Parts: sequence; structure tokens; C-alpha cells
Amino acid sequence: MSALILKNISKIFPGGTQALRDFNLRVEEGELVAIVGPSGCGKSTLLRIVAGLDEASSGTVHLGDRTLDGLHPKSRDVGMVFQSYTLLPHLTVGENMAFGLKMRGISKKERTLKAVETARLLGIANLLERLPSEISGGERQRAALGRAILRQPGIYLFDEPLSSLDAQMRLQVRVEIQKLHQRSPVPMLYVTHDQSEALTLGDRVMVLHQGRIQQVAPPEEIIRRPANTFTASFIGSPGMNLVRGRIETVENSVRFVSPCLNFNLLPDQAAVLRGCHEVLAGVRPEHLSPDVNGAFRGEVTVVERQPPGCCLYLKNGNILFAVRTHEALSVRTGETMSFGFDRTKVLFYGTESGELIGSPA
Amino acid sequence: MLLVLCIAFAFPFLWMLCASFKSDAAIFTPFPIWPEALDPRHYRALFSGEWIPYPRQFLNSLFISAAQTLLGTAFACGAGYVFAKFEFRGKRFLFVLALLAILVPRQVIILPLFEWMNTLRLLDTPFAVILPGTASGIGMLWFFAVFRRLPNPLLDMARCEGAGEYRLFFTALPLVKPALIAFALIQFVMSWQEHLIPLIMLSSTSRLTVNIGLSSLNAGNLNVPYGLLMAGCTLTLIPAAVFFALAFRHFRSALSGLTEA
Repeated sequence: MSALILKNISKIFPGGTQALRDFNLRVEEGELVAIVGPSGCGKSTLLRIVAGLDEASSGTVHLGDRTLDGLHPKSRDVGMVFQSYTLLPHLTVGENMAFGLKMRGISKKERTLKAVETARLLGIANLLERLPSEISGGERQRAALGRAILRQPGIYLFDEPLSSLDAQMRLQVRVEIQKLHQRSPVPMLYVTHDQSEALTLGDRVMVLHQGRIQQVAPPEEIIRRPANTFTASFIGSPGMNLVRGRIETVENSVRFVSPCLNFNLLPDQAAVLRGCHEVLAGVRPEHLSPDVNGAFRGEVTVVERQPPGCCLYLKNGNILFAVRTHEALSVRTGETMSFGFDRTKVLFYGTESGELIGSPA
Repeated sequence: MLLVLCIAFAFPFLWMLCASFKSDAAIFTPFPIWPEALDPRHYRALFSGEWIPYPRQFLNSLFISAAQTLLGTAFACGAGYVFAKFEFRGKRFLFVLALLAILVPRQVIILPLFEWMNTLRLLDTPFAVILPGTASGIGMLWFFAVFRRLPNPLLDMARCEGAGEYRLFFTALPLVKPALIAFALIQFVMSWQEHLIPLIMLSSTSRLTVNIGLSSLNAGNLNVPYGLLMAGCTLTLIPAAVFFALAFRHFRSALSGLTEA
């Protein structure tokens, strides 16, 4: 078993669209990196390059000390699970699961044995004789997962495996993927557009935007310290509130000043921001709480119930911000409310670069 | 309404069947339509080889049509698959070229084809008839449409699971089985009733296809009983009818598949 190493991968499509720009990543044995980003960010292209289904315009893919460049997918030892079920309709579930072994010339007896063993693991042993059209979507995706597991490949690639399933099936299959992850000492790449999936499954989460890595970090860090404004506003539901303002020094205190939000900076923040002129202050919606004397003030425009809590969208001048509470509030649209926040949790971003200001903590 | 249409369509065939048991005099009497007795003398005459080597010609036709069906389907299927699923240089050009083949009528190419077969020393052999029919522009277009509907992830899956590109093609074939059978059916019927090419390419009586054989009976100023001709036509219909009956279900599902997309 060995790590998956991607070096300087770029991908430019024939039309001139650049899907990936100078991409570098190392996925350790037994590590699951969840790749999340808006559609068209290049995340599926990345998987296809690793699988050998697409060719990178430049850069190299290594599995341990073995280079995969130029190899046909069949020689790469990848197990891939696709968004659509990809079961061959004329083969039974069992035959579908053992398809990879058949391609490798393994005897029928051994194939059946393996299929039964794997199906038991996934709780679909009773479906082996059925045709794909006779089982549910969740079962089909488990069978597709089984097919990838059966061969014990050197890398697992998941291309939005849950997105065609309904909520309940999604949970079931997600648990199966978790279990697989826990017992398989191989690198795994998991592409999704659903951040909650990425944050649940990933040992590390990679945020991808326009073919560039925005941040690769453990889920907690992605949430706690988004590296730039894209990650900050993309991750979280809703994303982080970003308010543009000036840093002003008045007598002994350093203040953040904006039309809708003013507050004194904490000493360590002041130290970091000294010399900055304009910055973006970021506050997560869940860090705001109702407070009559709070610094955030606005008119409620939308109230979303998210039991047991709720989510409010407020407007102050032309600035919109979101608030998420753990308890339901009895508010109506049109009311004006104030919210306070814990100043230690405020993050600051450069207005030009969009990068997080301050040392990583 | 449907019944009326059915009768209208079936009538010529029934008439043909009935006439095959009649004498010429009875044929030219409009009523009754059905024969007085099931007299198989025309069939017997046909098989005795009295007029033409009918069984031999029948087998010629069967061989030519079967070979053309197999080869034609294989080539069209392969070409359609490649055009639908692969990108390569000159693809557009080749595709247009293949489509042009549909537009050129047989009559236009028959002379060069004859020259060519002459050079290859294939004249008056079944291959002179089989080979020109194996390249089908329509067939390629048909399979192009069929394979384009085949989801790419299925192929990608098979690649990841260890299928090489040739293996992949054969993995994909069962997925388009109805379309495959439908095309083979059309190809068989077309080559079974092909008239021009066998007429030009074949000359020995024993090598003719069955429909050329039958029409030669009619064309020559021989005093051939019409009943015999009708008997020959009736028998000639059988293979195409059997083939159609066997494949009809697949044909329907292939067509409905196309309209769904």
C-alpha cells in the first residue's frame, strides 16, 4: 500500500478551458481526502485524471514510487464509484460485483465466493441473483461500491457516489463508505458538491475553485479558520458573513469601522492588523446571538425555520448578513434586531487577496 | 379500419399463395380466388430443377444474405461505436465521408464496382455480391445514434474494472442488443431482395440468387407457368418472414428506445 502523489497537474480542455491549474496533493495510505467545490471547479476532472480516464495536460500522478502516467485505467488498480449506478443491466448483481475479477480472468468459482463475501459485508447478500432493475437505488449503489471493494484496489475514487440517492439511502451508503474507509489502508479521493458529506467523511477536506486549491485541511480547521474568503463563504450553511470595513486607531484602541458594524479589536487582532487599511471581517452566522446592545443591527428580510433553531437573513443598508440560532426565535420579517458576537471568533481577510490575515492557529 | 387495412395489405400475398396452386387458365379467371385443390405440381417442378436450379439458387441467396448480414452489422456497429465514443483527428471528415455514402445511389457506383470486382477476379462469385453490401452508411449512422445514447460512465466503469478498449466494445454490445438485432434484420431483408448488384455481378445460372433466377424465368420468352413463378415467390418470402417474426420484438424495443432518448 502506498500514498497517492499528484504533482503539478494542469488540465486544459481542447476548447481552451483550464480545469486544473498546477495542482499538488499527497494523499496518505488510509487517508480520505474529500474534494468539495461548486460545479465546474475541476473536481471530477481531477478524479478522471487519477483514474486514467482523462489525460493531464502536464504533471504527474504517482502511487508510491510507481508512476501512473500514460497507463490505461485497467492497469492503474483504481476502484471507482460513479454518481450513476453503472451496473450492467444484463448481468445480475453478483456478476456485476465480480465484473472486475472476470476481466482479470479469475475463475467463476472464486468470483462467486468473493461476491458473496463482499455482499455480506454490505448487507446485500440476498440480492446477488437479482438484476439491477429489480433492486432499489441505494442497493444498486451498494452493489457498485461492492464491485470496487471486491478487487481491493490500490486507490479508491468516489465521484459523487451519493448524489443520486434520496436522503435515507444516502445515510446508509455513507455509513458503508465510512466502514470501508476504516478498514482499508489505501488512499481515497472523494468528490462531492455537498459540504456536509465532505466534512463528515474527509480526514482532510480540499476546497477547489476554478481549478485551484483554496484550502486543504482537516474539517475542523476548514470550519474554524477558512484560509480565504472563498472557503469562508462556500463552507457553512449559510456561509460566513463578510463585512468590508476600515481599521482605525483612536487613542489607545484599534477599531474596525464599517457602516453596519463597529467594534474594538482584541489586542492580538490589533497587533496583526496594525498597518492594514481596509479589511473584511468574517463572522459565522452561528456565532451571532440576539443581544439588544449587539454590534450587528439589521432588518429581518427572511426567516427560515431549521428546527430546533432558525436562520435569519438581515439587511443593513446594502449589506446582507445571515444569523443561525440554536433555538427558534419569534421574529417576523420587517422587524429590526441586534446581534452580538464573540470577538475572539472574528476572522479578518485582505480585501485584495481574499486571504486570511494572521498566523495560522 | 385496421381490419380493412390488414386485408388490403395481405391480399396480394394471399393471391400469390393461391395462384401458386393454380393452372394458368385458373389464374386468369378472377373467381374463385382460392384454388380448387392444393396441387403442389408447381412446387415439385421448382425443386426438380426443370426450369431453374431453384434449391441451389435459394441456398446461394441464403449464404449471400447471411454473410452480408453478419459482416455488414459487424462493420456498421464497429464504425458507429468508434464515431460515437472516441475523439480522433479527421473524425469529422471521415464521418461526413461515411454519410456521403448514403447519398450516392447504387446505380452510380455499379460500373466502377464491376471493374473492381473484375480486377479482383471475384466476378460471378458470391463475394462480388457480399462485399459491396457490407459497408453501410445508414448502418453506421444507426449505430452512431445507438452508441451515443450509451452512458459514458458505464464504459468508464468497465475501463476502471480492467476492460481494455477491445474488451470494452464487446462489453458494450449486449447493452445495444435490440438495436443490433433490428439492424441485422433490416440488413438481411435488404440483401435478400437486392436485385441490381447480383444481376450485374453474377452470370452462371447455378450462382444466381433466387430473385434473379425467378426474374430470369419471367424475362426469358420461355413459356413458364405463372403458377410456378408464384410458387417460387412464395418460398422466397419465407426466410425474410421467419427472420422478421423472430426479430420483430427486438426491432420494436430498439425503435422505442430511440424515441425515448
